[in-house]
Amino acid sequence: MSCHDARELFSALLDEALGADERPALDAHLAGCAECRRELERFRGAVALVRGLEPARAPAGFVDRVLAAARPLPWWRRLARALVFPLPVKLPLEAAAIVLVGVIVGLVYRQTPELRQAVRVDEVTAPRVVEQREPADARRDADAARARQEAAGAKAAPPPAVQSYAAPATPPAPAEPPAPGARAPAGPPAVQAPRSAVMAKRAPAESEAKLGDKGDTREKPDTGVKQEERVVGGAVAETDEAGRRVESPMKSEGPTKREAGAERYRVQRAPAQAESRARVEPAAPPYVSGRLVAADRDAAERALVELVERAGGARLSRRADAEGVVLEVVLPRAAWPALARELRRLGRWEPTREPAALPDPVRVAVHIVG
Amino acid sequence: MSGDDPRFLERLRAGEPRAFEELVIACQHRVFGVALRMLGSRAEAEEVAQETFLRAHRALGAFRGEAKLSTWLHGIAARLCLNRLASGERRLRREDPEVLERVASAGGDPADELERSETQAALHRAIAELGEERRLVVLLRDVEGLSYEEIAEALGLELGTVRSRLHRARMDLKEKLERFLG
Repeated sequence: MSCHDARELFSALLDEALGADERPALDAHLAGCAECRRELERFRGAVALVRGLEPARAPAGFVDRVLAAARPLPWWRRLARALVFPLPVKLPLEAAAIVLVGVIVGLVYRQTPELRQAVRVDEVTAPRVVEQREPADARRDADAARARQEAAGAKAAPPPAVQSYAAPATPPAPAEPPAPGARAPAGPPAVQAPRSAVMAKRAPAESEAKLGDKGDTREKPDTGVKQEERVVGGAVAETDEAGRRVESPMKSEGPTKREAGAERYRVQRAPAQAESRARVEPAAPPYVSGRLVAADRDAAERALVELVERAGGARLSRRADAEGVVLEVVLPRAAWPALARELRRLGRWEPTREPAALPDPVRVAVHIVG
Repeated sequence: MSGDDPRFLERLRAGEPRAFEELVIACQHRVFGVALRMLGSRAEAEEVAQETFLRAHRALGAFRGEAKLSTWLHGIAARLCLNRLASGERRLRREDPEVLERVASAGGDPADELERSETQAALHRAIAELGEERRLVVLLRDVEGLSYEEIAEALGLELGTVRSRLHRARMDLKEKLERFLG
């Protein structure tokens, strides 16, 4: 055994942990090596010093502090700690909540363009129909439509146009006011075709009434307001030259919240806007309407909706009547020719209004009958 | 505290407050001493010792009694000390070894006290200068009196590793304390 090997066993020697064969070998080496004996004595001395260390004492009150800390907290403190203190838990939860709110806002915002587009379509199309027609015709059509409605029975919902008559001076307060950008007519204005003398005369007077103090509105002739609103309402109940009724969903569908708001909005804005449009807008019909006679009405309706959605459009409303279903859709102007072709494939397409110049987007009312 | 008395263990596992108090009273100085000599700061040592007992309190229900309670507590304290030393979150400076020595010293003859104080200061300094793992093993063996097997169990080490670290620690101390060893 070398000196190095012998000194490696000093610890085990002191702790009496030597193996059975190690002890005789170490004893033999120590007996013949004075240097290793001295080294062993110094080793023993160092270990003895460490073993002679005074024991440390815990500070006074240590036990009480430990017991107090180990005591269960009252329920309200545990609750407060659970809610407030575990920041590693609380912070990720708060971050997740913020992200969730952001996602919801994003989803809602994604709906906004569609809503704005729908409002714009309503605004662009409704007054234009009026401008194409003599107010007297419109009144006559509206009266005829209302008479038909009454004749159809009390269960039919009253047309929104009639509802709007009941409160001509009601503040608009739409449930979903249209975006400011949607109020501007879409597309560049063009020269306006001749309008009726009634409209031309009435509009300035109503503009004055609108500009004046609100208290003065009572001086505005009721009939004038009514006529104007009914003219606007006339846009939703039209009769073509053959006397066939082509209904827009605005006329008689159960008014949704959005459409009711849009209707009120139109009613209030129509007089002033009609005047300005009379000078600048073309007489092109604002939307396409027609009748689709299909063998399978449901299949035709499904196919139509699918075609519209595929073309980047959307369904605005659906209403069932005695003959079938009236679907109102909106789609990009460029997609209309293709849709017209498809309509002819779906059944017998009888357009009642299909002007050459169309707004973009274009709104189409299809009366699907079986 | 009656050590590993099965009845005492049952009282601890049952969450009896008086049993836990007995455990703290019996082991407080040993746990605090290991923490003090490992960390060199009384404030940190008290924090670690308190945390050791709190962790033990939470885990007593699952303590199976395979190791001695003191070994188990030493193991918890040792891990907390090593974690604290490794984390770099130490807020307090190590206290001077003389401070540790004064804490432990008792009164006596001034001349003897001076010599003794000098030796103790050198000893504390030598221990403090050991590597953390060697320091822990030598404290558990030569100050706390744990066996090789208990140290291996408390620290989760192989027996050979314990023997090797202990021997290296003692050899280091012998070198540092050469002039006090005659």
